Amino acid sequence: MSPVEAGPGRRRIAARVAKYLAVSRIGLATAVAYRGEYLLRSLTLVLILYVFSVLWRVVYAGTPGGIIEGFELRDMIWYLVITESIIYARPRLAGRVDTEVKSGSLAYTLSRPYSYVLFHYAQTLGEAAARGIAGFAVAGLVVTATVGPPSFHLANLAVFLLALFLAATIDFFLAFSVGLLAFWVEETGPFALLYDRLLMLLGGMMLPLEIFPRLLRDVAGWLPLSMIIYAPARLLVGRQPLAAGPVILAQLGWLLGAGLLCMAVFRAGIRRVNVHGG
Amino acid sequence: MVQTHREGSSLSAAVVLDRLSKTFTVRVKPPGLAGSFRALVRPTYRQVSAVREVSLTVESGELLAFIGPNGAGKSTTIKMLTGILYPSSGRASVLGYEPWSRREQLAFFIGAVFGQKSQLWYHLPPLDSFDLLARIYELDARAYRDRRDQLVEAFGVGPYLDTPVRKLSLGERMRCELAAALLHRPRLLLLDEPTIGLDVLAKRTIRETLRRLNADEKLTVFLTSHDVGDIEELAKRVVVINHGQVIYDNRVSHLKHMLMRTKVIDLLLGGPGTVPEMPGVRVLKKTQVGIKLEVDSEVQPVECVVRRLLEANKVLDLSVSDPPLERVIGMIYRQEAGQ
Repeated sequence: MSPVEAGPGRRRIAARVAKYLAVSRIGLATAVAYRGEYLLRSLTLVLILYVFSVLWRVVYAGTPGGIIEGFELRDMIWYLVITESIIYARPRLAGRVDTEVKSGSLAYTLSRPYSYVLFHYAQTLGEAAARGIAGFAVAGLVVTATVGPPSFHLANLAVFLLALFLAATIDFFLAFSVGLLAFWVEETGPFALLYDRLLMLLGGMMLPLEIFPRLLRDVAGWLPLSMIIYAPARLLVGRQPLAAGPVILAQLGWLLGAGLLCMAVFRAGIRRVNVHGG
Repeated sequence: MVQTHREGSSLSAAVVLDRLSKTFTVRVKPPGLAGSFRALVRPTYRQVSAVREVSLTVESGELLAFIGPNGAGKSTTIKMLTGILYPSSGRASVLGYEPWSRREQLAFFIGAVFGQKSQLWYHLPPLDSFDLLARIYELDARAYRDRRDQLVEAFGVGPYLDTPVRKLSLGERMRCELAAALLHRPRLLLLDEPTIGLDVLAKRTIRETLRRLNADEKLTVFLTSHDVGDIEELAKRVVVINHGQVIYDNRVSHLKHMLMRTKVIDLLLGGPGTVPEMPGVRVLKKTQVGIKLEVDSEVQPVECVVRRLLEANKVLDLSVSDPPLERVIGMIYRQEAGQ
């Protein structure tokens, strides 16, 4: 049975798209394979949000007017719901390549008729969707009960979803580039830790960039990390949401850069794959 | 010296390797804490030649055993055949493709099973993996279902299709792994220790099915195994590799006969036994009721040994057999090592 004999263009392209969609579905199915764990893990978000809620309540109690850089307490907590959900949704991508190299399962994942990078991308999107939806739903329910419903800029909802997709893609390319270092070094953990911490700090996971000192805010604003967390969240939350056009344009620019970086790292690394032994 | 029965390539060849070599750079760490710090400051590396100038041709439809001791270079060769490893030098053609530069295209036509790894999604039932692989290999939906049903029956995995892979026994999982590797009707199947750790029944199912597929579909099989049963029951040709080099390449039957100067004689006795002193005869085992001897037939003709044994003992039963293939292979390894 040879691959779908196409006439030859359209069916072949459809078959190619279908394979990556199927990989995404498997990623999603894997993420929800254990119902209890799937929901229970989301509860860790509730704990984090509880701690931040308490801290912010103290800060806001001492703030005249109850507004910090255009954020009311409720906005701030809902900003955290979105940013924490984005972080929570991310699979441990860097460690995955590392594991494949060490366990030798690379022999399978690299020898199938697909792009190795796109395969992992599709799988990551599926997993991230499953985890992100669960995390946001659980955290959102709890926060609604404690600080009230969000005052999202719903007109931006469609562009927010697009920005989330672009954010996940940029993050994938960057995190996967770090993971691909496994083709050179024996342990990618420290690199992955560095990337994750930078993403959390400079990406705006704990604080909107407006609250950063000016220099740090400028630096963070120029990095792709803020396009992964801060920018999508700020399309929905805050008195004055970010303008959609510049955010999407900036994301597309970073996506192109990160994508090229990832492909270059993969092309260089694939020649160095070192999986000798059984 | 390499013992071989074929040279060059042929038009119907599934695999052609031409002086293929692979050298790895391995980091060396001296033992102990001080060694760890030294390696941190000034890392040292050494080159390991995993495969050295291997030349080999495998015809389409051939069932070849590619064997050798641990670390001989078998798996490295297989990984170069699938295209995931780039060689350090030399050339290879697999079904007409250079594997490492046409990995994705080649993947449509080859299947692989690595006995100590899994290609099935661990948390999901095999059926989900099969469905996904059908998409990955861009299979037509109906043709896929027919093929899947055929393989499910052949490997007897019907009862496990809905069970998450993590809950399957090794034998059940391996049969599913093989079915997964064959879903897209590959023309070449690369098997790296496919029966490792399996019970007799699972091995038999796998061997029978592979033999049938080889005969019915002209499936070329490239098999590495430490299990002599796999080699004896499946392969017609055997290539022995050691220290990265091919040291023997011939038919399995030739392997046995060529090195058949050794015979094993088993005696069942009706009383205490004695073994007359004869050059080329070695006692392997001696009990109250039996003797087991190994005879080097080039030094001492077997019939002469048998006659002397019959004269000296009250023999109830006698058998002359070839040494097990395991021992023959061991002899090849030792010959190559100059022992």
